Amino acid sequence: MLRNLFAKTLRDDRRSLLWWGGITALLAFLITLLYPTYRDQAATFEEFWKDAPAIMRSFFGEQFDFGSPEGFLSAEIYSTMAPLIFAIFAIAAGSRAIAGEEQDGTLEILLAQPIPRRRIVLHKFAAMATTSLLLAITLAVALLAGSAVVGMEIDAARLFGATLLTALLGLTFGSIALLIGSAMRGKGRAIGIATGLAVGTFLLNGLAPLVSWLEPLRVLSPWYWFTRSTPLQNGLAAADVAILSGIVLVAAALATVAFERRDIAT
Amino acid sequence: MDEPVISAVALTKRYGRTLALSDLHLEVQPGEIFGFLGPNGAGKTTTIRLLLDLIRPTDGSARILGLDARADAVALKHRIGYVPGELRLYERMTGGDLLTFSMRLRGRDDTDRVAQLAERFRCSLDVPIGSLSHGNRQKVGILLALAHDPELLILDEPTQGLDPLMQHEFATVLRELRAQGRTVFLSSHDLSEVGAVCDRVGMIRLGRMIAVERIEDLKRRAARELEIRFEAAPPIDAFRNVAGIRDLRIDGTLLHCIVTGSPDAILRAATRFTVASITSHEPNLEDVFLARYDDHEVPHVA
Repeated sequence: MLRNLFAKTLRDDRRSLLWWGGITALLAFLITLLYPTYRDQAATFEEFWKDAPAIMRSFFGEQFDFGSPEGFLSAEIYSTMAPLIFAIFAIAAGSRAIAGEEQDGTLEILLAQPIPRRRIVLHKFAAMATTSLLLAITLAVALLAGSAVVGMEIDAARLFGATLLTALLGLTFGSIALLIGSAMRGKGRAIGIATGLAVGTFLLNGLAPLVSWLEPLRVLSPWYWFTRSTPLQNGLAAADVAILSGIVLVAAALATVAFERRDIAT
Repeated sequence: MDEPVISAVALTKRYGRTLALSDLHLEVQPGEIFGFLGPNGAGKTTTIRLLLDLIRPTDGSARILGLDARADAVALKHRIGYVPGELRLYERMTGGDLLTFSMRLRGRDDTDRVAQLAERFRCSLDVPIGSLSHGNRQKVGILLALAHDPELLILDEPTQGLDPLMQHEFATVLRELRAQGRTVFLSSHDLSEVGAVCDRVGMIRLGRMIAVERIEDLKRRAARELEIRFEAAPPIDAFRNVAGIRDLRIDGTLLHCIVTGSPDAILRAATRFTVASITSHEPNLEDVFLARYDDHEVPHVA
């Protein structure tokens, strides 16, 4: 487990991943157990949601078919809970990667080893992507387990697809945290800017349908590409995956360049 | 003469309007222990971190072991051992795991050497670093710097937190490394520590190197306080013309003076009387060092 920096980072994160995975799986499992209740009262919920303020519907989804497994999971898991978990998880990893180590003072010892700076960024990035993926698999498996218990029929491939897209959304903000932390010192700053962007682009995506001058800016929000094609119902859209992956890869590449150029703080 | 191991030319580091290091020139020769001396904040750590490519110079450049400190930084780190001034290690790892990790990154197996060093420094490698005392963490840091048998050691106040016994052991290790042809660049704010192991010392103040001296020369010029107690009060005139002493005074049976260089003359003069005891205080090399440069205007740094 100490073969290289990627392996060491996974090893460092193993306990935290266990906690995140365990709690996420537990929450997801418990939520699926509520499905029969929702299904039986679907009409009431749908009525309620139809009467909800337009702004709420714009943010969380125009309509949910609570009676169907896809509608239920979209509303209860993929509209807020899962994106929140993946974004927080990835932003924590991305800000810890460089800025966190710098703040802890351990970057000094890491850089005393014969390892190029860009490789440090790449290995840390790969570890963040890997743990996000593991968390995604954990979530999907927990949802499938819950579905089996309550007899909820759901297409496993689509479930994995939707979960993967959620992890990718989290990684866009995680990569931005990595980029900020690679370009300048301060773990708090990396967390702050990445979180600010996550919230800001969430608002942008939610408000754009209601505010005419925001509408053209909507494509700038990762949330737009995350919500656009509802992969649970329709399967993953290649364009959404490509655009979110593109943001992630560009941010990671910029991070290697930025880190290569800068001074390390004591 | 061989190419210097470290050769810095006009190294300058500016942070905004603060000049942390100004036009530093430095040459360290192969096989020497070079002491880098100065008060805290003088620019010692800045110099060292420039040499290690942790920060980049505003101006000037450095060559280390024939390579460029900036462009060849990764290749150099195979050949350099570094103990940072503010050592922070991965607290949840054990010392042993950290050393294994370093070996893997370096593509070497130094297990035997690490075991020997750990025994010499009585360093515990099987508990999380976070549970170690400051001194024991420092030992892990020292092992990390020494494990790959580097050609050049760059040490920023490496003995912080070590007990005197371990400081002594560390000095012994440095002398052994010198005997094997290794080069050591050792920073400290304490000349007496550096004086015990170094061949030469450079003095840095306010971001400028103000002097480089051989320790031998310093010691030769060093002034030491000497007190000689006699059985009976001697006449002061018997010592007035003794070479190499000053501040001569006699209080009853106790003679007090400052000796520069060899005490031979004063001892010869003293033995004409019956000597009861002699007390000599080790010279403060720092005073010698500064005595010479205090007169010079210490450059102002913006």
